[in-house]
Amino acid sequence: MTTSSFFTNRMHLTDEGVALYVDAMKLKRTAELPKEMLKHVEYCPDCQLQIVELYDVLKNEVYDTTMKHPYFDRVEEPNVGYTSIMYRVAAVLAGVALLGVGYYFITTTSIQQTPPSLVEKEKPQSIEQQGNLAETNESVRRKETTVQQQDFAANFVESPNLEDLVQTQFRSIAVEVITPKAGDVVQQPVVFKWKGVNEPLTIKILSNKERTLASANVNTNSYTTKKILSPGLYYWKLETKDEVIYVGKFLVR
Amino acid sequence: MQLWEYRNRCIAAQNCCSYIDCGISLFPLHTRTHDHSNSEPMRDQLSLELLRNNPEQFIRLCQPIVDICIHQYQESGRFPYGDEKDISQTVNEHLINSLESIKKQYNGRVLLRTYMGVVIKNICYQVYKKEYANKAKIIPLRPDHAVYEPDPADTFLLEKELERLYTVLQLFPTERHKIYLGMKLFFKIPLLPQDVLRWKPNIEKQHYTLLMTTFGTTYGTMSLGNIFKKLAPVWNVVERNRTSGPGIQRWINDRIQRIITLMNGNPPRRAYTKKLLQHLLSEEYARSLHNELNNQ
Repeated sequence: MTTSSFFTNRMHLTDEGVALYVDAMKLKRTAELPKEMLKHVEYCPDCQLQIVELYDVLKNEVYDTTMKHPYFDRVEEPNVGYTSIMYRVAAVLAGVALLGVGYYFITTTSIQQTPPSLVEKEKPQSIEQQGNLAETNESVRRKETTVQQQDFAANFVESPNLEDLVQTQFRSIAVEVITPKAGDVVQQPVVFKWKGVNEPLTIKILSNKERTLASANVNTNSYTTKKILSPGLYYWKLETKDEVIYVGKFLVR
Repeated sequence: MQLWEYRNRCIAAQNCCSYIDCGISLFPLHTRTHDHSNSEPMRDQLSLELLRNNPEQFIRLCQPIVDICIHQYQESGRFPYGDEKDISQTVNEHLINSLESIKKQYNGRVLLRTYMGVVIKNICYQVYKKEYANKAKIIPLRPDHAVYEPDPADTFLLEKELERLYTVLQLFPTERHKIYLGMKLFFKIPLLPQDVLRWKPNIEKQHYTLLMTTFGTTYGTMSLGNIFKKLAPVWNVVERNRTSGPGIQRWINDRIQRIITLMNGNPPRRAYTKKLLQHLLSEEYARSLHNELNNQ
């Protein structure tokens, strides 16, 4: 289980991180908290205050210290690390193979697409030859389509880093997103609407490769894209001047 | 009891699972010794079921947390006294409207009760920002505060405040024993053997003896500069660094300020100062000494 989702982009504890620390204090299991979390809290007065505040809210709640906790008593899958590495190696190999195939098709295509010389043009073609040429063109078209399909599919691959942040409830400001909901398929131009925030925000639209495609400062509770987005998976963020308050995702078909 | 014998007893005690039984623990960094294999299904599962199947009952179960949160906002002057019912209704309306998103967003990695604490805290903040932030901050005197008479329940207040101090110290997972020892020296409170041994369980005998002979009895007449000057050589050996006496004093001073801020809460609902913290630590010292004498 990754601990990165317990931290915001600015490396403070998320609401969930704060809640986990309070769980640990209530259940007397602080030693079992992730090391990076303990280290961070020790030196972060802001996060300490957040924890104290939540602890105070829950001061009268009695926690049963014998009960199983979803995080501390989670069952670790054996060889998770090994499996994860194997997956990564397989992904890299597949990527390399894909690139190789792509490169082969592109070079083949470019050779075959070289305009024939005038002399060749003037040559009369037999019916058999014409048939072969049509077959070759069909094969090239098929290969081109395959490459395009691969590129197209790559636009829908999820970003592990951003996926971790989608649906995470960030602290301080509880923003309520009206549209697009996480995972919605949207029409263009994309209209973003939210409520519950009364301060200037920055909206950022990111590709699935975590590249920022658009960024705008907004004073209202909505924003409409100006560029036409190509089909793919996109992420969007709402940020105050201090921190990220929402991360969502949407699909363009 | 010889000091060195006491040290050995403390180290042995630290290796056993029940700190409290050994009478030497104040705020251990908690480690779990229970066996969970046959433990009962946790209460939170019931709440999760309620959230899905019986939201009305779920909201009802959340009321104690809502009440505490509102009360804390009142204590800090951000919600007016007397409006509890209206505020509670507003918070509950928000809560009802958020139930669907809670169902979607709660991923079960923390206890639902704690998660709801975060949600309710955020809702209270929203309500405050929307309806009360622009109004003048007035803290009216509550009727029950008009005449103050000592109450038998006050004897428990100190207990609660000490508990709060231990809670706050848990937010310094690696430095808390060092901070605690430093605070005692800053406030000129005599050290107890366990203060030194919690800081460094395998401290060299000569360093331990030096600390206990210098600071194990009253040293109120010693200046702060002198106290930290005498501490520095031992401190530097234990901490493996080279800090001057004034440097250690500044470090402790900084940590005390942070502890005071945390003790006062966010938003501040208490009025801790260095002086009050000193009183609290003195009381804690008196209790520890009393326990130690009883154990001997």
